[in-house]
Amino acid sequence: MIPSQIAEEVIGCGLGLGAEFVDIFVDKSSSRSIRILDSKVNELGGGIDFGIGIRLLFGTNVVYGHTNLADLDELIRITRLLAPLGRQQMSKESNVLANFKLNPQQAFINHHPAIKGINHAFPLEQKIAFMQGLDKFARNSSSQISQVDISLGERLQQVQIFNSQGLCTQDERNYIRLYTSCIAEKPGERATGSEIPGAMAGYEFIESLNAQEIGERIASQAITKLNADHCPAGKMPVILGNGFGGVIFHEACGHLLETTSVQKKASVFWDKMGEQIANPALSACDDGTIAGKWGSINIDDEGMPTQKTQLIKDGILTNFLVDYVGHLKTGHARSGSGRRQSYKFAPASRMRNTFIQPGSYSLEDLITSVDHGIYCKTLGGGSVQPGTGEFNFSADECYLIKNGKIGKALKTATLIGTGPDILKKISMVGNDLKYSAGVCGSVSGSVPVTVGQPSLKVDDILVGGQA
Amino acid sequence: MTPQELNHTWSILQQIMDISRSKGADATEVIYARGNGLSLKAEKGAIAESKISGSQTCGIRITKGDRVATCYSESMDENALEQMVSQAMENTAYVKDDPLQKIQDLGQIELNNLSPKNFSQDDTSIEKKIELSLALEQKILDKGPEVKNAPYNGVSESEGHSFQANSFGLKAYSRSRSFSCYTSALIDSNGKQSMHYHSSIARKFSDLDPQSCIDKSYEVASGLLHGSPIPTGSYDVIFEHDTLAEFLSLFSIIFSARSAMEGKNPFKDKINTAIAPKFLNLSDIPNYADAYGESLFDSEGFLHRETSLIEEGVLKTFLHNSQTSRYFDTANTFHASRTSRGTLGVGSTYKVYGPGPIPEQQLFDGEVFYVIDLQGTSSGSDPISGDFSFGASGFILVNGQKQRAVKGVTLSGNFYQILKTLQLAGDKIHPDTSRSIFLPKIRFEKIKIAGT
Repeated sequence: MIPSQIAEEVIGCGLGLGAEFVDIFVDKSSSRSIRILDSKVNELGGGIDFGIGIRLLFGTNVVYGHTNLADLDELIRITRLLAPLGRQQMSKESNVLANFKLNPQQAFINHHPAIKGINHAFPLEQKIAFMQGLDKFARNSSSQISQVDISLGERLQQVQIFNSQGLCTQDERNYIRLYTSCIAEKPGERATGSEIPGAMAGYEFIESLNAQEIGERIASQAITKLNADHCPAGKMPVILGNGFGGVIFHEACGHLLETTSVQKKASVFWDKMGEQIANPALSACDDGTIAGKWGSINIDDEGMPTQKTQLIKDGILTNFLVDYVGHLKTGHARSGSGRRQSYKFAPASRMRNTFIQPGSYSLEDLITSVDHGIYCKTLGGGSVQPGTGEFNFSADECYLIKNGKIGKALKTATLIGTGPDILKKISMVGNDLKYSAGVCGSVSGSVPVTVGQPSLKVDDILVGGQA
Repeated sequence: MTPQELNHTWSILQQIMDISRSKGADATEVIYARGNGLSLKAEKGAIAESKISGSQTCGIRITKGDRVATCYSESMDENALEQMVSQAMENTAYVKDDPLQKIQDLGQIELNNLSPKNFSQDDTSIEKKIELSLALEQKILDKGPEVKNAPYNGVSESEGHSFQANSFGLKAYSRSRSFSCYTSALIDSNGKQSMHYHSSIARKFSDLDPQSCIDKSYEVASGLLHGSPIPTGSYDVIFEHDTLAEFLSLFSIIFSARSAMEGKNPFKDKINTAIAPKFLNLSDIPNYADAYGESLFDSEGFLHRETSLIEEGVLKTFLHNSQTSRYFDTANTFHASRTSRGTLGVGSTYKVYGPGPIPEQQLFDGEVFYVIDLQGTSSGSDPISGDFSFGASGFILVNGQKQRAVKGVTLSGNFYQILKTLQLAGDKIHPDTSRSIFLPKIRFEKIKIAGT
């Protein structure tokens, strides 16, 4: 990490070279990963990531550079390399170093403290024993389970953020995630089951999990898929299960509300503020404040305290997700959503914990409302093209619904649609809100996010099955 | 890099190996990767984002008895290097015995990959790069009033240097330089939107092909604007080169000896058995003449050589490193792959498929769905089961002539079953945009499409 005096000199240099805004992001991450394969400790690794990103703004033109070296000479060198790139656009000339002073460091309040973070002296043997226990529960579930692969990833990210508005702040983020997967086999066929819980917390999060339940769940998912029929193809009503089902909102709508797309008019919702863009049954939030959630933060990567942002209320678009540059370009107020994977990326507006708010229906209500369709109990990842709103996501574990009853298991399928269309077809929202951890990739790299939703009904969506 | 910088780097690697030996490691391998780059993006006629990057990572793999552990650091000060080695040594206390994984004793050897196919001097000015970046946006907008935007565009340059050393005396160095440019066309007309993106890469700035990026982005976006779903059913499908390369790469696990060793490769028991029709041949060729670069040695310091993976439909070998070849008691194919952060794995160089038996033009007889773009390939594919289900867009062709644009459909099946029943492959070989896969056009019969 760097002393504030160095930050003052670098910011002063940037301002002196004509920049209207300068910020510095110091980023140190310590990580460790343990992998259990064939029931043994197959790999144990980790390391230190360290670097500093410097951003200069000339109007709304962004110039960004990064380095692994923390000394003043290197940071001044980077700043001097960057400035001419920005000035080309502004024809502004200045070589006088500003005498810049930061405000006193803002008090650091950690709303997501880790009790047993990566540096806590918790015995590694106990972590390994938990993972091997989970492995055993999965293997013992069925003789058809041929392989179990479990990894535990722990990371402590320490950041310092300084900017030319006087900001001087820091944060500590403890991340932990358990990757569990297994393979079920029968002659000529294979299928997989997986679950990947994560939190902004220490090892206490893993202690809150039940190894037997997870082991048996992933095994059951793999066995169910192994014996599943082909999924039907075509448009039909779909019930999306709670938790990772929220990926539909993340892809179909969330990305389209980031100013990263809105500011370029590369989102189909760029001019829809205040308009009805979804079924009135639907309200949705992006909330960085929820204690210990995988997508939570104290401050965003531009140093702004995070917040809860109401994106859609009763189907009406109420807010975008706005970073600093997005604010300058669109005029919308910042939402504490400027995020990045690491110092290697300039920040951009990104989601945190994004979820559809609960309605009043039970899962049974939703299922019984469908004559012929599918129930997607768990979902995989997806993607979207913001300019057209075309999105896709995969249904990992699904079942046929016939005459309002859940029937046979079906193989995986991709569901596709366009955001504006699908938001209007979410007609029933359940009361069983649940969250799931994921990783979202976009212009500022891969960041931890939570998706969430109660079970919900989409009246009509294209299911890419094989039957 | 100057000779002084090179010497300084080798001395740091030696210092790390000295620390490692002093802490009790039996053998040590160090990989140090250093890179820098520049990228530019245009918006509304001006450069909206410029980025200068510089990064370095140092990673070690050590052995202590029969145990192996890794650790890495982006910080190169003495304390950080000490900490990295200590962490790796601590890790050896917990990992399983792995007598098959060793750091190779190849003696005192020096390897250098200075091939001009990977790295060329280039003194293109920043002004030229800015000019190209602005043109990639403007020339899309100039295509017509229906073009709303070129939301994703840019020019970038990157340079990388990789140093590898081990405590038995290996010193291996390679370098690369790349330029790329890309643009996109977002077309909005009468409430319908369509977008397409195309890129070009080259070792020299002057070899970039921005015009193809501009033309292809516009032509495809414009062509698909009025696309609509076709009726649900089974269709014969031909993929455009890049799309086919992407599709095949999703299932490249079948060539990985490491995945086979870990029980994940679905073809783990299929060596010397037919997995595809007789016309299918595939080789890994590290010095293929038309490839984007040239790979001379693997991450264990062994010289690369051409490897035949599929011969007349029969799977001949996996891609092996020294560990997997010991595990399967078979010949090493010298495809060890390890980054400074990672563990020992395997990786291919340049994959070259043989031509098929059918005149290419004949593949297009009758009706086919010509797929230009796939969506959701990562989440929609399961390399372990072979099942896939993707969003797709393209054109229905009849005898090679466009009949209608198609979008909003899915395409699904099981790759391993399809592979067995392939019948039609063209007699010409085409590269993908990255010139890393060379393949014929293939007509996949009766693929399930979900649409209206």
